[in-house]
Amino acid sequence: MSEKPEQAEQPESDPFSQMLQFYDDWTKTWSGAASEMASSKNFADSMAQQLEASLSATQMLRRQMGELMEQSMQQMSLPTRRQILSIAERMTNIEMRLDDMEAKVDQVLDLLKASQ
Amino acid sequence: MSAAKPEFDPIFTAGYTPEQVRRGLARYARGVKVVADSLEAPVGQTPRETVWALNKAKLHRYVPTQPEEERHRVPLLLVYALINKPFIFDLAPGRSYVEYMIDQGFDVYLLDWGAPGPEDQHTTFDDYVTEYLHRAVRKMLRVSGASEFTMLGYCLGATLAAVYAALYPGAPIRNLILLTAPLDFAAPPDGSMAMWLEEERLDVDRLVGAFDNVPGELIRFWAKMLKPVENFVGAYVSVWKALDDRAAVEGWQAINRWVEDVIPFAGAAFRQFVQDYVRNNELIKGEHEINGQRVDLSRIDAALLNVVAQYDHLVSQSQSESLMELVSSEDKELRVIPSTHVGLMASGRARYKLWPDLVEWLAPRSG
Repeated sequence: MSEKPEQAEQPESDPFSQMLQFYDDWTKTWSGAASEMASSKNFADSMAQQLEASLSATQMLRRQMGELMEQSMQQMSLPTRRQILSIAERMTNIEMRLDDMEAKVDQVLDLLKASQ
Repeated sequence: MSAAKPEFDPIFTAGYTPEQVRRGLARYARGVKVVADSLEAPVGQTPRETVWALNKAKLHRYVPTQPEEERHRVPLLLVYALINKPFIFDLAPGRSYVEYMIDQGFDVYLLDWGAPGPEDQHTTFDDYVTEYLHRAVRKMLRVSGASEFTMLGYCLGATLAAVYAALYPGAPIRNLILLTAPLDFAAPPDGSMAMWLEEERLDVDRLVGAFDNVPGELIRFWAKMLKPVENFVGAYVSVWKALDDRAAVEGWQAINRWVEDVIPFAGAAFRQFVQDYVRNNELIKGEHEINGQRVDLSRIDAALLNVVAQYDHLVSQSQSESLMELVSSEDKELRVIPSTHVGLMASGRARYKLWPDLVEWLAPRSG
């Protein structure tokens, strides 16, 4: 009767390869079950509840911090976050108008070139 | 007399020689380094110049490699989604769709939306079409001197491309290529990304109100949770197994960087996409209006190639295929590819099968 070779004789064998083998052996079962679980209505509902709780806390914290910061900045005569965002939005609008003007200039140049 | 306390052995070394344990730990350390280094993996290396910029958006033109007389006359504009970065089109030399297409004689442009900041929270999904894509197309036509162009949209970029084509029927779109386009949300969302977006599960106003822009990490988490074992464990096991294959490791690092390198979704754009496009399915129903004009998909008359990935767990086939019956294009084809969502651009098979197939379809239609 032949004996199984000793582990020391297997050049690729190490403790982590054993874990990989374990993963390979079980991945199909795990994968299907985990995907099914993650796609289930109950799981999605549970995730949604956790997100909702997290959002409530985040929103409250942000509002309070925002109000505090806004008051502090105003007292120091510094622009608030809201004012800076408003300027950035206006700059984007100006960029868009410049882009349209450049396109119109290009059109005019094309017409001039064609008429010469 | 108490029994001997078992020796602590967290990685199951019992039965292994010290050399085997040392080798295993060394390999583990290499694996950790590969994963950590992947966040800095070199990507997007194909030479290009930026020909247009507006706010965070940029239009890049890739430097052609073929002589002008051998190039196709119709330029190709690539439009990617609003989540993740567009370097999925240009992962690394030898794995780059952009590089492949310029070598095939195409004049390639890429629209990079950039990462929205808090000042972009009011940019809607439709704004990306009317304020950005519209202007980028105008500039591309100007720079290229072409009278027609091909637009290739991928994922949400395909939705934006379809909306653009329907909203601007006068635009000189010669060819429209849509890859995994999420357009039709009539089917139950079970098991797809849309599942997380249902009204009873997500208060979209509260989400946007809490963050201004929706964190990319949240969207990535939703996407990964659809295949948790593959995404949270399998991805790392696959690179572990390939540690001795330098090319495979580099490829994995580029893809992993793309997966992890997320950008926020502009708040108003996310809100509109979820409410109008997903929950109300306005686009397919023909009820969506932009600036008082109905987005009528029947106005799409360009040659259309609609590509669906058979094993896509983010965008199902039903979300893409119903477009075929709505467009007016006489030259149209729905192609189902045995691939995953990301595999269309990032797999080895894409380079040898999908990309040559795309060129075979596009080249005769590109002058």
